[in-house]
Order: sequence, then structure tokens, then C-alpha cells
Amino acid sequence: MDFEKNQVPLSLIDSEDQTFRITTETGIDDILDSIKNVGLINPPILIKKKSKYTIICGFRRIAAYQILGLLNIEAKILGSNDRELDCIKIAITDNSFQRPLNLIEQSRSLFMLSGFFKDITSLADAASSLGLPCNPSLIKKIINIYHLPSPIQKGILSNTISLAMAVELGAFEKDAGITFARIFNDLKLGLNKQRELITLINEISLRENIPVMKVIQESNFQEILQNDEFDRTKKTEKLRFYLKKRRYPSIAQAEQDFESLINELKLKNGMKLIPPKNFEGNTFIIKLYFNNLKELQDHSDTLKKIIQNPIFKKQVSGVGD
Amino acid sequence: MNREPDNLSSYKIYIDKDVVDSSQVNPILSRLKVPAVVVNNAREVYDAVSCADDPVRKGKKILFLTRNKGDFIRKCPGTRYYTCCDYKILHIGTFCTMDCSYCIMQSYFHPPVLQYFVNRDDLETELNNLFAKKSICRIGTGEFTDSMIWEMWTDLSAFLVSKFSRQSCAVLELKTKTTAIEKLKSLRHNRKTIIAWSLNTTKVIEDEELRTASLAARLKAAAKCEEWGYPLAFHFDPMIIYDGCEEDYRGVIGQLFSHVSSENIVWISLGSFRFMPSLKSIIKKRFPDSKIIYGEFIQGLDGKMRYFKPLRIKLYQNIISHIRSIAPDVLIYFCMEDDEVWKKSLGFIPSECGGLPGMLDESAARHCGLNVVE
Repeated sequence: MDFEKNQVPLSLIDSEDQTFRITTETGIDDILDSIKNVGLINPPILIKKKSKYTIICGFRRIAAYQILGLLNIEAKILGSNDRELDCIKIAITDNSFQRPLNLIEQSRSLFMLSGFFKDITSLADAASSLGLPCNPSLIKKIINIYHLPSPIQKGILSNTISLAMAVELGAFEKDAGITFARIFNDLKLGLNKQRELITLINEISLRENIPVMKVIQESNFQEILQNDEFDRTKKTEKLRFYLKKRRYPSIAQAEQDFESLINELKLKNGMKLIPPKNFEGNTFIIKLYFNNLKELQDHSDTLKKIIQNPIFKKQVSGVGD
Repeated sequence: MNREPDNLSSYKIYIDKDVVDSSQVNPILSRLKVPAVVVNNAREVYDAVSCADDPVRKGKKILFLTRNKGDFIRKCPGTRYYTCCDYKILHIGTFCTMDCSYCIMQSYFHPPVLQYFVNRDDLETELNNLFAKKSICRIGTGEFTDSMIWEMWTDLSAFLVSKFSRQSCAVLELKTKTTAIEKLKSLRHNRKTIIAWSLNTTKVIEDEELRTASLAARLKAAAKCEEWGYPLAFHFDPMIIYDGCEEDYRGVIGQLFSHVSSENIVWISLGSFRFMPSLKSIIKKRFPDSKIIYGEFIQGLDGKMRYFKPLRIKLYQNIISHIRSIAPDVLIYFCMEDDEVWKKSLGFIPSECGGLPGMLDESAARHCGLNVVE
């Protein structure tokens, strides 16, 4: 591939044409400082299209030159006969061999390449030679990110949303995916809590044949989400509780009833009553912690009262009663 | 909902090279008249199934004729956490041509494929050994497959029914969702074969049990079998909880007793929907419209997902009271429930009545004329 090195007037460079842009970085402060101190080390690469030049790589360098008010920039000019695929490869290589690409940049790169390969195997081969992921199933996931709405892509860039979660969000209607991304970002939820929230909301929606957005827009949900008196942790806790109650009403009620029973029993410090897991088995556990005979005697007195409590009797009434 | 019988031409047969000369193979080939391929091992068949977009669906269209390299007679895989009925499985084949959303076999076999075991001599030897023990035994073919789907291709039921008719310690249960009973009409059964149907509400059958017979058709078939002298059994399993389900199940019970007489029912079992967690993603993918996985499930003591216990008990109480109001003497039992559920739903626990296996043995003996003293 032949380059011609030339001084190109900035006015002839079409900065609006983002066809070959890989980087997600838009800030140019670092480059400005570098150019001011040592000048342009690595000239941008351009290709002539009609009367203007399209940028293949060097978007931020050219932006820095514009800010500095310079009129011309030294650039490498590709022959106009060079194929688009070659331009894409140059654009990717210029980024991927300098620094690790983030997921969005990988997605852009793979998407740009994908149009030129008829199957995933040949795409994977090409990706590998350009420093991109080469596992076909990973490529399929990453490439789909390119089509996700901007808030989800931003969540990926800010590390709020993982690749796995981005794929899940991509399966929702656009507005639902965006709303989830915003909630995750606002509440700073980790992956497990994101999954829990999505699963609960999605299953409510599927069970009741209503759109996901309708579940999210329900007043109880929104009241928690928009309550300024709650911090993020409190909001998360309340949302999870509300959704669990909505998804599993009988189970949530049983847990609440058991909580009321514990309060009613007025258990002393050092005494714990644990129900059977999921209320499925029949074995209740009482744990006693004591440091001396007096404390053990106190526990004994409390136990006697507990055993006489009618609500407790009903709760533990099993097969043998 | 697709209730059309399967188009036989869409099947493909694979024959294990070791059984090519089996006397069972040719009659099957002549009935099916579809392409057959001899394979060196099962892997070739599994590969053909696994490469499909929907291996479960593909596995329903491939019939693999092979030998049962393990035991034909096996213990039913119960768990120690829930009361098991000590049933025996007659392992004549695997998988099913019908397509129920909740079917555990979708995730039980890797990959799932219709297999029919043609080593009839080994089957017969094991049955002879079982009968020689002279102890009461309940055994069925409907655990890893539907008992009656093999009727259109094989003489299996004719062989089994007549084999069981010539002894008096064991009873065979043929459990089905089909109406493939015509061949049973002329068989000498000596009441040693129980014909059993899985029953469910019309909503569940229509929404979740693809390519099965309708409720009305199943009950009509049951009435015919009763007319031919067969003892009957019914299994409400899996019961699915949904709005209005209790009324629907009561309706099914009403229909059941308007078709058959309670005196001829050996047992009725009840079991609510339970599944290994891995089945959930399969149902989601293969049956996206199904809502059965969105019930209130907890993980049970055996690791399976089950309805929250109070919900199960409430459903059982309702259904049992209705059965008892019509047929107070019919033996009702639970498949895989614990003593608390038994006590709260049926009013007793099995150990108070000699244990569940003993209760079922007694009913089988009474209805089928079992007699271990010869």
C-alpha cells in the first residue's frame, strides 16, 4: 500500500465523516499538550474522496490542530484506488496495536470488518491478525453491541454494564434496555443485582403478558426509584423487596409473617430462630449464644414462653402434632 | 395447537450394527417404511441429533434401534427427602414423539433421542426372573417414554400384556397421553395390566402438551379399556397452578368419573410441577409462550424447583376433597411429597397405613387379583 506524504489544508479534511473512526475517546487535552511540546510525531492517514479528504486515522490529532488554529497538517495520503477494506484494516491497526481496545471499539471494528467476510470463521481469522478477539462466539456477542442504544454503550464504557449484561439488554425492546441501563447506572448495581432485577421484572412481564416497561412504570416502582430521601443502597433494597413481593407474593408473605413472629416472640440477644429453608422442610433451628449459666437460664425462660406462644405453635405445627 | 398424528415419512431410522439381525428389526422397518441407516455406534446417532438447531425436536424424529446394554428392570429414581412409591421401571426405550413443555426428558438425556431396545430375549429373561421372585411388584414402561407411542411400530404391548397375564405376582402399568389402545382390545390380559392416563386440565393440555390426545379422547379411551376389562389408573401429574386451576381440575375429575367407574380405578396419583433448574432455560427457548416456569417456585430438598409448599397443599386439599366426594374409596397418593403434605392434604401419613409401597401393593392385589402364594 503506497502513501504519499503531503501538507494538507485542514479546510479540505471532512471531520464530520466518521466512517473509519474506531476510538471512543473524544477528549484531546493530552494530544494538545503533546503537539505543543514535541510537534506531530505520527501523521494522520487520509484518503481523498472527491474534493475532500476522509480521515482513516488521526481524528483526535486533526481536532487538536483545529483547536490550535493551524491551517495545514502533514498527512499520509492513500491512493484513491485503495480498497475500503484496506482502509478499515489501517484504522483498526492504528488503534489496536497501540493500546487495548475497549468493548465498543472492538464492536465497531468487528462490525466494519463483518461486511467483507461471508462467514464467522473468515471474519475471526481477519480479526485475529488485527489484534481483535478471534473466538467466533465472542465475536458474535461483541458485534451485537454495535447496534445497542447509546445509554447501554455508555454503561459498557463506564464499566457499569458487562458484556454478558449488554447482550441481555439487547434482547429487550429498545426503551426497556435503555431504562435498565439508566437504572443500573443510577443505582450503581453490580452484575448479580442487575441480573436479579432484570429476571424479576422480565418474569413478571411474561407471566402477566404485559410489557416490561409497564412493570417499570408502575407507580410503586417509580415512587421508590424517584424518592430523593433514599440513597442508592436503600433504593436498591426497597426495589428488590417490592419486585420479589410482586413476583413471589405467597413466599414474600410467608417471610413477612415469620418476621412478625420473630418480633412477637421478643427473642433476646443471643437467640436466633431460623425457619426451614424456603419453608420446604420441617426443621426449625434455634441458636443460643451464652457466656454463663445466668444467660443460659434466661434463654431457657424465653424458650418456655416461645413454646407456649399460639402463633409459634401454629407456625411449627407439623406432622407429629 | 398441533394435535395431528405424526407423519411417519418424516422419521429416520438408525440401526445399531449389533442388532441388524434381531427378529424385532424387520417388522419395525416394514411398518415404518422410512430411510434406515446402519451405524457402528450410538455416537453417530447422537451427532445427527446434536447438530440440529433444536436437538429435542430432532430427537423426536429419529428412531434408534439398539440393544439395552443395561438392566431392563430398574428402580424408580426417588430421593430420600420425599416419599417414594417403590415403583419399578421397565426400561423398553427412551423419549417420546409428543412434545410437552414441562417434559423432564428434554434435559434428562444428552442428547434426547427415540431409542427402542430390540433385545427382546434379555427383556424376557429379566421378566421371568422378576416373576420367579413371587413377591408383589408394580412395574411400568411410562417413566422414560410414553408407554403407548410404540404401538404403531412394534408388538411391544401385545408381548408384555400377554406375558404379564400368565403370572400373578406383578402388575404392569402402561401410562400414556395417547389413545393408541386398539391393539389392547383383543389381548388376553387377565387384569394384570393397568392402563393409565396422565390427566390434566384442557388448558394445560392445549397450552403445554403438544401432539397429545385431548382430555375427552383420553377419557373415552379409558372407558373403552374398562369395557375390555382392564383395570385403570390416573395420574394428575404435573398439576400446574394458574388462575382458575382448582375449578378446572375439579371439572376434570367430574369428567373422569362420568366416563369410568371408581371401583375399577387402582390408584390416582397427584403431583405438582417440579423440575431440575436446568429445564427452565430449555422451556424458555423451546416454548416461549409457556408461562408454567413463572409460578412461585422454591428449590426443594432434592434440588428440584417446586411450588411453594402452602400452594401445593392448598391445591391438593381442594382436589382431594372433590375426588373423595365422588369416589371416597379410591386410593389417592402423592408422587414425591413429604409427610407434612400427606398429613395436611390427605389427613394421614403413609407410615400410619403400612407405608406407601404397601398401600399400592394392596390396591394392585385387590384390583388385579395378585396372589404371591402359588
